[in-house]
Amino acid sequence: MNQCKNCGVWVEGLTCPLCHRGIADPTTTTEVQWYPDYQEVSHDQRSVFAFKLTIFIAVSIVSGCLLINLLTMPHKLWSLYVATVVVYLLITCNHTILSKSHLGGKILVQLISLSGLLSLTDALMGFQRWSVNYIVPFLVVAATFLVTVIILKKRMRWRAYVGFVVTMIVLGFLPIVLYVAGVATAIWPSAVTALYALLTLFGMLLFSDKTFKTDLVRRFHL
Amino acid sequence: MERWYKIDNTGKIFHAVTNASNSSVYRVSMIMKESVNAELLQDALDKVIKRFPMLAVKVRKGLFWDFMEENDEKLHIQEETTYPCYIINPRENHGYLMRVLYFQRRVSVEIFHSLTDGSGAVEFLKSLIFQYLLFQEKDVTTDGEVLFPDDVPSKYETEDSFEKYFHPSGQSQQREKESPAFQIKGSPFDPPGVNVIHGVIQASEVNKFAKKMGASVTEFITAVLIHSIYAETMKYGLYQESIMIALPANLRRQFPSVTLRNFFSVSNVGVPVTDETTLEDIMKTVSEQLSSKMKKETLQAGINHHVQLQKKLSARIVPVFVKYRAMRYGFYHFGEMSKTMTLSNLGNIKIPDSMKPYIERMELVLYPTKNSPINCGIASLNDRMTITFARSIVETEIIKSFFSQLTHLTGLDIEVYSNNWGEQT
Repeated sequence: MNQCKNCGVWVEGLTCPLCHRGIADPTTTTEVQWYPDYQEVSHDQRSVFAFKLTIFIAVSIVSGCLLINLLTMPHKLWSLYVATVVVYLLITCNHTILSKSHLGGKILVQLISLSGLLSLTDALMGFQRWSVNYIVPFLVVAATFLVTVIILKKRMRWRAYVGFVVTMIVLGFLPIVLYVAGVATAIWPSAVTALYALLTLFGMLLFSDKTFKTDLVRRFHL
Repeated sequence: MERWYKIDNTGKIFHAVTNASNSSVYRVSMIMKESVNAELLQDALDKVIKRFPMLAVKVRKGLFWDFMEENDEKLHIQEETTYPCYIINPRENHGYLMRVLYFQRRVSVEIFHSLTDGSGAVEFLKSLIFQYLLFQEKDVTTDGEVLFPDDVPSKYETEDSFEKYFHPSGQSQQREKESPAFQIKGSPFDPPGVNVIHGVIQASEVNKFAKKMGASVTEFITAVLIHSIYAETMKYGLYQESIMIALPANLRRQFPSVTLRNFFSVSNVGVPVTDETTLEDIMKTVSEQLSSKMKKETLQAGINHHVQLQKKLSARIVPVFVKYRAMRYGFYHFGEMSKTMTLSNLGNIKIPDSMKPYIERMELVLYPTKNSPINCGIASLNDRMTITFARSIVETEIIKSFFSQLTHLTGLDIEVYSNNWGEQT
């Protein structure tokens, strides 16, 4: 042990950890290694770089298109179509492809972003309601079906999907809400989606064991 | 069907506020007399983890609250490679919110604070080391000081003691609007990380010295810390804020409980320091504040307040992601702003005499946060008190001043060592 004359404490090495000065007249030169030599801690820098790169490319495309749009035909903002597609591709790239999120989460995010993309496109084209009448209900049914298939396939790990299937069932009633609110005008796709959601719920309760109900209790505990 | 647990009253906040600069992961370690045998440590962990079901859990998402569920995956020990209190990514850890590490003679347990507090972590570490020593064929006995790994966990160990001691009709302590405390500023490490500096001192002598000064060890050290913070960071500035030290209190001392989940409260004690304020003045104020804040009625009112907040129907039916946002706002704008530093003293850890020859001492590392970039953890064992400062900033003046003052005041030898994070070229 050597004493640091500056701080008054005893240290095992030749440098004081407090004042960082070298020990004057050390009596011992051997040092106990209390901690490992740290390698650079990886903060998943590759995925951070990929995320930044996709953001940069997206902003470049959108701003470039906006500039060309404003310089050539300012009366028709076609660059907004590009912007919505770019945002969708950005989400797809960063969440669906690059992230390590749960598959159920990826399906849910795809459902929301694809619905958003097509609804915005519809709105930009004068809102003929094809998105809310047909596309959104169809996407909800497709996503619910996909999660149900995964649950049936992954019998051992199906519980991880319970939250997602419940969310899909809840979303199954969104088209009917849109119809009641007057946003959608076609009743049958909304009704079919709601029925499909109800049947999925009924099927889960009927065919799954007690685990599904218990899991619901846990997930909805107050 | 796996067992599940609601997250306890205090534990919920850690799920809300954890991020890259606030890992909510603390570390308790035991320094053994001999190098650790990794194989035996893994065998001991495999056995002991079953004795602590509330630690062998994974977190699952709920609509109104997240919850913990039994985790039957294997928890692997790891050789220490990163800095202490590194954020735990459950995906890389078989879903576990804790890790068991070893390096040379040190065995460490790092735990996400939502699972348990320091007392729970120490009980786990004691049992782990006990089992490890048994596998080493050492002649050790529990002597009622260690939870025997073969025992069946008691239901009282898994209870939420906040719920148990909550009095719906009792007095509830409305959180006083605390004025912002002085905040320590510094240059964050690049790359980010945690530097730890440990100081080892003779526990009985510190205790004797504190008694002579008319204070407890915690009060004495808090006072020296406040004095150091003032001397190094405030002396030549124009500051209105007080230096506030957040002191976690083990509620089991006042409210009988053997729970191995969180059961603690935090009391902020503070002093407006000027050039004329002496160490004795600070100590007197700290002692007065602590004895008032540690009264059973005050702690009871605090329990009532926190549980009532959680039980409000309006709070319960809000989706968890909204609640987490609100908690985060409260934590960063009020909780974190009302303290300068956290100081946690685990006290004198009791272990059976038969285990003492194999263990040198203990360490407690408390994760720093963005607004509290230096925190202090103290643990005493075998008459060796280890005072550990964990920091996320380059500046060491406060720590240097603290140890210099402690040496100067007590005349005791302090052995200091560090992990040198941020100082290697």
